[in-house]
Amino acid sequence: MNKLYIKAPIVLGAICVVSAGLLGGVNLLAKKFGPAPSGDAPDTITVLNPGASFVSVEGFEPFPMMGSNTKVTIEGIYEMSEGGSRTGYAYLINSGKAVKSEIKFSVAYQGEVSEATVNDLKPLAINVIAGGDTGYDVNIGKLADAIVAGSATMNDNSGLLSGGTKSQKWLLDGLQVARQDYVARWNGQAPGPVGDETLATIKGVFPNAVSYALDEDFTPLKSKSYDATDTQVTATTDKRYTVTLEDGSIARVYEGTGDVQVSPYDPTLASIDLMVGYSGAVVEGKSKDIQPAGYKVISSDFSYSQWEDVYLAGVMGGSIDIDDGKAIVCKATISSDMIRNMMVAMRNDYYKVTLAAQKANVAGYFETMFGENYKAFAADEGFTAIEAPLVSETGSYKIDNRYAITLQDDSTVKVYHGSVACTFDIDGEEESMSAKLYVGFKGAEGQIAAALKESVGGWTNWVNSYLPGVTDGSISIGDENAALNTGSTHSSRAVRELLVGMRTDYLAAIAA
Amino acid sequence: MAKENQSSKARIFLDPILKANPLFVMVLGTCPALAVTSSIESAIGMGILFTFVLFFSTLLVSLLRKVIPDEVRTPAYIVIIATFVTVVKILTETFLPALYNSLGVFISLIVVNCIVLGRAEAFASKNGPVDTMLDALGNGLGYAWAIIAIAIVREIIGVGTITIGKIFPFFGPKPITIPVLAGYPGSDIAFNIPLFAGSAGGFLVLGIALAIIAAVTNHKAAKEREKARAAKLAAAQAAKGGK
Repeated sequence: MNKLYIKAPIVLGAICVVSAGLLGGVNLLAKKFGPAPSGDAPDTITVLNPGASFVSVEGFEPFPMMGSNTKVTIEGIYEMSEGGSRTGYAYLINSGKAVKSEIKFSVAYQGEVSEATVNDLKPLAINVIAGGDTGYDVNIGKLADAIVAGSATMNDNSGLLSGGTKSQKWLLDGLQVARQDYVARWNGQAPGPVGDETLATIKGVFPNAVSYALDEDFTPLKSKSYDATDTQVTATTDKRYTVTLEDGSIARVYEGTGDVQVSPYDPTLASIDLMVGYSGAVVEGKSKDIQPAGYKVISSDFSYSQWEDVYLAGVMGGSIDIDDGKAIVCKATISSDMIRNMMVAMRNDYYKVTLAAQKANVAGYFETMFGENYKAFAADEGFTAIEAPLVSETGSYKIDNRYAITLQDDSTVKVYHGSVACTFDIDGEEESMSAKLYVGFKGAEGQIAAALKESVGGWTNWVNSYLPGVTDGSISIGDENAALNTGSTHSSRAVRELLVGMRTDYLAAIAA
Repeated sequence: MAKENQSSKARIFLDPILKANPLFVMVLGTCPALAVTSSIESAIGMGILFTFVLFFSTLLVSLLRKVIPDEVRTPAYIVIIATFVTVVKILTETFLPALYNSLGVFISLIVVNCIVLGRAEAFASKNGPVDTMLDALGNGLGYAWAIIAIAIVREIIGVGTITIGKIFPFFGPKPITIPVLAGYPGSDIAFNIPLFAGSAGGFLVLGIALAIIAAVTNHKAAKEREKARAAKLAAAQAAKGGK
């Protein structure tokens, strides 16, 4: 008994000691004869080139970029070196959606490259970590192998295999984004995000966008959720951007996400990330007249494309009324319904914020026009916009709105908002003018109470000659000849016609 | 006597390869057999590593069989097996990182592979080093060819091609892909069934293989029984006639 108590631990201890010694020896051998340490890179990177050393790029922060088909995030960049010399860079890429369709891979590029030769550069190695949809992920691996082997190209879609083409396009997006970074990085630049990614995406909606600001006070809009027995649909508009366009006007861009779960027994979701833009003025009480100005699909993995090809194309083209619930019937009815609900919520919000902004802006004009006499205003809901060609000049005018202004003495003035534009010939040169005016009329004969220019363009002499005359009553707007010889004859004629149009409506309105 | 000894040694080596195959007959070590057989190269790698661990750990167990007290033999065997698994892990990680990444945790799990501990306990602890080496080689090769066979079926049917050179760069830095059911240049035609590349495919292939082997074995056994019965009947009739 005692002998066993002594022998067993001694034997076991001896085995442990010998094992530890053996492992220590093997470890030393591995360090001595193995390849150089691979820096701080994970295995997913080192496997790209086991003989090389990888060190993460200093100060790197993950950043997203927009590929041709989806958003691509560069999660890591590592400098690759062999024998102490830089030979290339390796990237950890995530493209597509982080649910079932996520494409995650690492890729290494090596060697000289320039903007001129970028299309000739192919990856040294690709390590597919997650290949998207189960069943088709095999094709992601096959395409990656073919690209590395040179039998398929990453420059276009010609090398895509049948089955899972969407995921394969996302792989190509990721490879192209990494290569774009590689060209700059190899040639001594540390590009990081190329420009402002959000602005680049917004430009997909408004190509003439100049700047944007995220509306921090925006409350996400939950649009109607479709919840049938087998299918659940949810959609939320998460962000609203106020966008300044090249002409200085303000537009709004909404970004919404939506999910479709076809069966409660299948947890996988089909999802979309969509931007829709709206621009232009709104008319009170006519929110349904608002049309979207553009859209950009940031990512989508819906199986069918009719929601975009048929439904959204119809909405954008004006052939489908977004308020028509029956118009969603196409091969992608459920996703179209989701898009419709999301866009209705966006449109209603655009109407609300734009109208409020317009009202705040309009009130400012009225305060300028009437000074301390101004008390309140209301839009005349019964007014219908008036548009007519000019008789005396080549052009047209448009009267958009009519407001009832209450002054401090409780008297009322009707103010019209209108615009006029025309072209004319002076000494063989084509000249033009345009104007947006607020003009107030009062009394039984329609005298001008006040006038204010909102904007003027082209020929502008009339602003200092004709407009003050008609405003103080020294020039009658009924006098066709009074507009002559003001140093701005053509423009004054055009403005006169606009004023006559406004006064005609005013007289009709007070007579009614 | 020498011939008998030779035949016995041949049986020790050959039985685990065919008649007593650890995977197809004993149905041992099925977990890695399902996990690492999605590609032929992974299966080859696993077969080599497994044989290495089995060979050296059972050899050491055999050498120390008279030294290790019965009461601590299981922990002692586990320490020995774990040591060789760790050796394999270090060497693979250093010199064959692609294989290391491909097999992942299944290298470490060789420690708890029932074939290794089973052979140490059932054979190495009772037999000399020569027989143990033969037994380990037989079992290692038997297990290796079994998982490689499954991998061949799965890669061809599941992926449609055979890829060589991704893990073992024997043919240069670039892997070679041989089209079989898919992957022909310039053609989209693919007859592969991706299900077989997934874990469900591993179960299917192993199940079908076990069913075929069971059918063949049962058929043989039935024939043997039939033969024995006929011989018994003939002997009984001969005895009756003799009376």
